[in-house]
Amino acid sequence: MTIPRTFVLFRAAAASATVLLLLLAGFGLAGHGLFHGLGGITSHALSWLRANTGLGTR
Amino acid sequence: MTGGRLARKLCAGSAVLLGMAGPAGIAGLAAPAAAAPAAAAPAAAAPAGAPVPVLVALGATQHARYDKLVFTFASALPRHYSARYVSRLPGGPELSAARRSRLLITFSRATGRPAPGAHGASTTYGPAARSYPLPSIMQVATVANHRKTISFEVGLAQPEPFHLLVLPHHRIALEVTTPGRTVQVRDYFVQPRGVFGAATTQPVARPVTQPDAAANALRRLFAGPTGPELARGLRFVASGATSFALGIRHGVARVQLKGGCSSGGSPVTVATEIIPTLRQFRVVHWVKIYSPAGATTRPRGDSNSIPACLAPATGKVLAASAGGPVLAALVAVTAAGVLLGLVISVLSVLTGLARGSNTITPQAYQAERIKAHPVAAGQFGPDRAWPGYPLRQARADLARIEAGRRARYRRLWRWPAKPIVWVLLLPVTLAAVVGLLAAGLTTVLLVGLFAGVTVLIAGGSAAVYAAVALLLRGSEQVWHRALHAEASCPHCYHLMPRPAYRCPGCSILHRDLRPGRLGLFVRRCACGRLLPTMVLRAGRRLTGVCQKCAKPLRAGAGTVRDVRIPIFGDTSAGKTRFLYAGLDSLADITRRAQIPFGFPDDESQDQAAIALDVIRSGRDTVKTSFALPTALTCRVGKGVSSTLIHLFDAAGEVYQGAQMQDSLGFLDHGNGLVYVLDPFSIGAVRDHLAGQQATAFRLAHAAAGDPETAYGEVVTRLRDNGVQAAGQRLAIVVSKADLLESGGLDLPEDSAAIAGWLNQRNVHNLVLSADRDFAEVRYFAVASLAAPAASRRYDPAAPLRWLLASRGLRLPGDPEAAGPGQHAARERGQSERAQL
Repeated sequence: MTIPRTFVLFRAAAASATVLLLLLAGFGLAGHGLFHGLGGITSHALSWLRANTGLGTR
Repeated sequence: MTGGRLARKLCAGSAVLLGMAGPAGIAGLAAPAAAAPAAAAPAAAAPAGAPVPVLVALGATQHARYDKLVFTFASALPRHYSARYVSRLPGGPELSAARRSRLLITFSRATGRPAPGAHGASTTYGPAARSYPLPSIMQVATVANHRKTISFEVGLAQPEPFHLLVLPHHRIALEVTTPGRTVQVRDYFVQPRGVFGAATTQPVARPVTQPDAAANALRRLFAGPTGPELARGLRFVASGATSFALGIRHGVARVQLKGGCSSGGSPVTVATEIIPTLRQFRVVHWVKIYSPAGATTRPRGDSNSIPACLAPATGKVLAASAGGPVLAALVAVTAAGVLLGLVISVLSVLTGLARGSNTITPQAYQAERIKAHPVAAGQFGPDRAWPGYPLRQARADLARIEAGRRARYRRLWRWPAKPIVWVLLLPVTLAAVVGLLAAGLTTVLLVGLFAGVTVLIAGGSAAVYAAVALLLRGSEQVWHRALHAEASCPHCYHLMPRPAYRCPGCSILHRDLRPGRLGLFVRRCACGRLLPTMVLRAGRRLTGVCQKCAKPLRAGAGTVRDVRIPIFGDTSAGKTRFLYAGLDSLADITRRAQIPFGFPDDESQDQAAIALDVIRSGRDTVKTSFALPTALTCRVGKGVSSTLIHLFDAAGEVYQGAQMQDSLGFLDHGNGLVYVLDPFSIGAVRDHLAGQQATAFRLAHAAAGDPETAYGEVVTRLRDNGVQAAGQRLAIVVSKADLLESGGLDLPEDSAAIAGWLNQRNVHNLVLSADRDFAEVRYFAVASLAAPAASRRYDPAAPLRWLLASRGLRLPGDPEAAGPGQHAARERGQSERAQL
């Protein structure tokens, strides 16, 4: 049974779009790209970790 | 800030003195204060002897250009109140220049103490000190609350103009202009009950002015948490320090504490808050904190440093240091769980999409559709073809992926040992649980993201899909209506809006090729072959078959104008010969007019060849068999503007039996009828010819029955089957006109004259009935012979052309467009009947 090509196209499009969104979010968390505003969250989290795991108090 | 700048600021700001005669009275005065902060003179507000006003509320709010601090009194305003910048707080030391942004507000003859004997708070207006995350007002603290005087110290971000004003309901407001531009920074306060009971720090946002953002951030830190932050459990651990001095150079921030320095043995000190607060600034790499005496443990080198007075006790260090590793372990376990969740999500998505087991096949989709919408008797089920991905398969894919995700995640929770082992290894168990929960959350988020993207793509596509499908269907419907493009079966006479088509690959029938769920422009048959949608496109590439009997339709059926003309009459009335001669005449007319004329398929071609040969050779027509007729179809015109003309001719005997009549379905869908009347079956004509013209009578093979019988049977059938005869045309053809002429009886050519001729020969019942039963009746005299059309009298094509004209097909020399001699018969017939 041959699956229609449109099925493959739609699936590939959905998977590609998801990966693209994840990449954008990843770049954003690193402070780059379209969602660079997410970099604040990373900074916040790192500050919190640094301050609460003993790294920043000595 | 230098003294000159401060002085200028204070001049610009100035304090305001307010005195009022009533609640609405407001007076403002800016008093320059060059050497000292501005002062204010009091004004009376409450009459002497009145109860002392009680301060019951204190609150600050931010506005567009100023911060407002509102003091609310019960029942009356205090008699005196003032506000001024101060360099020394009552009983306190001289403030440094940097701290001279402090306002002292004093209310005389007012109190903030609860009545003697009252329980609860020590003040009537809430906490004695409080902080605000406002651009200008940082902190408000009670300086004095005794002897009927209340004083507050208001810490500002920097000296700014201010004024006091009286508001309704016994309120006094201090409005302080906000600094021009602020940026948000983070101050880190201690959360004593943080992760696993260990103290943690939490950042909160504060607006600060630039430059000196780092110093301002520390000033905000020393101002302490706001009310809501205190409610969340945040605290400022001062470690005895009351203020600080800050200098930043070469990436090292040096903070000298003032007022005191003591850790009390605790590992959580003011350094715990200062270091992350300062390290948020890019210019700060290391923070070195000095005691008030100017000492620190590591004054040099790339490291943070605290003074010995902030060093914790060893035991407390050990207790506190457990929090860090636990937190780090927690983070590591969570990260591992996230990674595991990522792997599970990717596996679930990939296997869910790649495996063929969840594919919705044409058979499965057809079964689903039938189950959802059971097929009623006489209807056909949906076609067997692949559904569009957004309409069905997308849902199946997501369901499959979600099932895979759940199954994989559930497997993670199968513990490989007895429960007691995990109870004994509790820390490991807890770590595993945290990791698994993180993995589960990650799978939900990632698979949810994929599902969201798929739904968006599929939903958007489906919306466009539906819109285009509706557009295509609508355009095809308009086309069909404009052209009368129906499909009629020449075999079972079924009339359908569109043909079914047989897949060239697997021969299964596709009964509805319109754009829809199974395809927009093309559809994929279950066998994999692509089929065009829309009848207009399918008609060119596929063979249309009847929806009812599945026999092939004429080529082009359903895409071009379709006209059906049944011919009926008595046995030997000359129906078949009339049909053949009419066909011959039509071919001749179209040839001379250079209109394409032909036959849509081999079957019609063969039928026509026989018919034309009989007529053109002058041979006698063979008796029509009793079998039900197959339409003789010809095509006039070319391409989409052509017309398929179906001529139906059944043996006269079938009109005489009720049982046979049930099969004459072609009568029900006719676009006009032709009734062939043999003049030799009329008694008056027989009498006239008897003896004198025996040869002509013999040649005529006259019909033996009553001419009105076949007519009556057909009309009754039409009526019984609900056919609206009253909306149709009827052509009454008097055949064998040539034989009558040779017998000495000349038939008129004019419709009304023919009707009169029939009336004169006692066929007036037929004339009357036809006129009553049909919308329009016209009479034709026909000689079913092959003759040069240019000079043809009694043209056998004339009745056909008249009926074709009613469906929009007009040929040259159309009787409809002919002279006044061949007008519509109804009026003529009526006039004839009137004469009779």
